[in-house]
Amino acid sequence: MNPLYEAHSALGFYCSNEMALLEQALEGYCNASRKQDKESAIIDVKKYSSRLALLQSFFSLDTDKANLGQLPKLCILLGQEKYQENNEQILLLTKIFRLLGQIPASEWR
Amino acid sequence: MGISKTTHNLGFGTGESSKSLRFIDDNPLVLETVKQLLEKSPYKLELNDDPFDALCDLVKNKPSAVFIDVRMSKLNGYQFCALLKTQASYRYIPLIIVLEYANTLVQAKALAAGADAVLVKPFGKNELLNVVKLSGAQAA
Repeated sequence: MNPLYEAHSALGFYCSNEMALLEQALEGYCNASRKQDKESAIIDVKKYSSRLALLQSFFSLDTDKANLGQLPKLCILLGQEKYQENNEQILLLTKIFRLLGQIPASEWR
Repeated sequence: MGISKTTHNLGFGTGESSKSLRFIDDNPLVLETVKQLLEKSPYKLELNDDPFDALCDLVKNKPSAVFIDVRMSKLNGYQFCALLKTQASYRYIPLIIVLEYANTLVQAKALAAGADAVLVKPFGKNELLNVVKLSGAQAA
C-alpha cells in the first residue's frame, strides 16, 4: 500500500473525468446557436476549468508526460470559436493544459 | 454519532493558522454532529462531503486544521493526507485522520501517511477541541 501513489492515481482519474466534462462543455459552447445556451456552457467551462486549475497544485512535477491526444481537439475548439475573447480564460486553460501534460498517460480514459 | 472516546497525538508540526477548521466526511450525519458540537467554539467551521471539493477549497482558504474521515469513497483519509503532506504549501496544516476504531496498525498507517493525530469515533466536543489545541491551531 502506498497512499501517495493511490492518491495520485485517484486524483488523475478524477481530473480525467473533469477534463471530459470540460471538453463536453466546450463542445456545447461551440455547438450552441442561442446566446443563452452559450452562456450556460461557459458557466460549465468556468466551473470545470477552475477546479482543474485548483487541483493542479496537488500533482507532482515529476510525473510522466501525458498522452496529449485530447488537447489539440480542445485547442481547435477554442480557436474556432474565438474563445480568446476572454484572455483570463485562455490563461486558465493554458495552465490546465500544462497540468494535463503532467498526468500519466495511464490515467487517461 | 455519540459522545467522546479517544484522541491520539502523533506529534504536530507548526505553521501558519487561519483560525478555521475544515471537517471532511461523506456522512451528512457526522457533519451535522460536528457542526452542533462546535457551534459555540471560537473556530469557524468549514464542511466538505467530497475530498476533491475540499482540496479545491484548501487552495483558496488554508484552515488551522483539517479533519478527514478515514473512509472516503473517492479519496480515503490516508490518501488525502499523503497528498497534502507532500506539498510544501500545505504540509504545515495539522491534519487529523478520523477513525472508526484505533489500534496500533491503523495509527501506524495514519502516521506513515503523514497525519499529525488521529481522532476516534465516537467523539465529543472536548476531544475535538483537545486535538485542535494539541495541533497548535489558533482560535479566532
